[in-house]
Amino acid sequence: MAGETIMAGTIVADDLQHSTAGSVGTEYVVNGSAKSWMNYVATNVNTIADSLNVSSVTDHGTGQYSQNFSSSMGNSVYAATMCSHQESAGVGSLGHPSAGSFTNASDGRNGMTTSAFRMRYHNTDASPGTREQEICLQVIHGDLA
Amino acid sequence: MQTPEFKGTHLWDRLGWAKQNLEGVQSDYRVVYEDSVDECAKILVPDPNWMACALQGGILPPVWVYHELAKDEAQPDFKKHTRGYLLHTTEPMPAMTEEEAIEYLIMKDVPQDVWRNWNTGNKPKMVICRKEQLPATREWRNAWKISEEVAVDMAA
Repeated sequence: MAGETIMAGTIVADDLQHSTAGSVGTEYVVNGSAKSWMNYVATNVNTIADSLNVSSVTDHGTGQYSQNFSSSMGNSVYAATMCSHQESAGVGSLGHPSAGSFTNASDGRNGMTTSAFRMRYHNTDASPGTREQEICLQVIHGDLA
Repeated sequence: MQTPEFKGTHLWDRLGWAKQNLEGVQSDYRVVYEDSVDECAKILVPDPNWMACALQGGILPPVWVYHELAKDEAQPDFKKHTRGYLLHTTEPMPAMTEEEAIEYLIMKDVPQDVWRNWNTGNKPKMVICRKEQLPATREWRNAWKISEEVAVDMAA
């Protein structure tokens, strides 16, 4: 490792090296870290339990929510990991990017902007319509602005 | 706790500092708005960590920064932000009251045509309320609308 410097509270280095396991470039840490996450309790409580880099949630209606970012993404081509649970039905759900409009679900990319990620959830049981979810867990990976 | 001197610090790093050092603040305020006659009312739920940043001061950028980025993103040839530095280098906002923070959040996360023209129709397009003023259950959620009676109250 050459060229690293240490400033107050900041380590500047291009690589992290383990004594036996090898090394990894710090760009993997920077690029691979989640840039936003939240634990959102929908239904009646309608509260964000905890989060990182979220300013608010927009509740668009049944099973449709937007995660609004504090620090904007650099582009709208990022990735999201989502899961949720509906305790009363005892089922999980499938989440996917939602169109920018409530009624037009034809283009999921419309719901992905640098300032917000809009998603909708469907239950995995026999009635897979858009459903309220009691816990929504969402993680965003990508580049920040 | 004193906020460090954050001018020029990446907003992401400022949020990380806040996450480590500030307790989240759950606001009881909710913003209800309608941005389409064909859709139900939307509800904006403030994030507790964001609210802590707003109340603390010295962390969040001015809201106009987000508006500038939104203008860039609205360009047809937009690929990625080239003025993201505005988030990080603009002098952060001083501490806000909870009410000022909600106003800021409206201007950040509610569509501009709603908050700029919230009171130009037959009834308000947007209402700030307390959480307990919303329906107790989410029954018929997709049919929720802002009550006509709100307009009557305002006129009075």
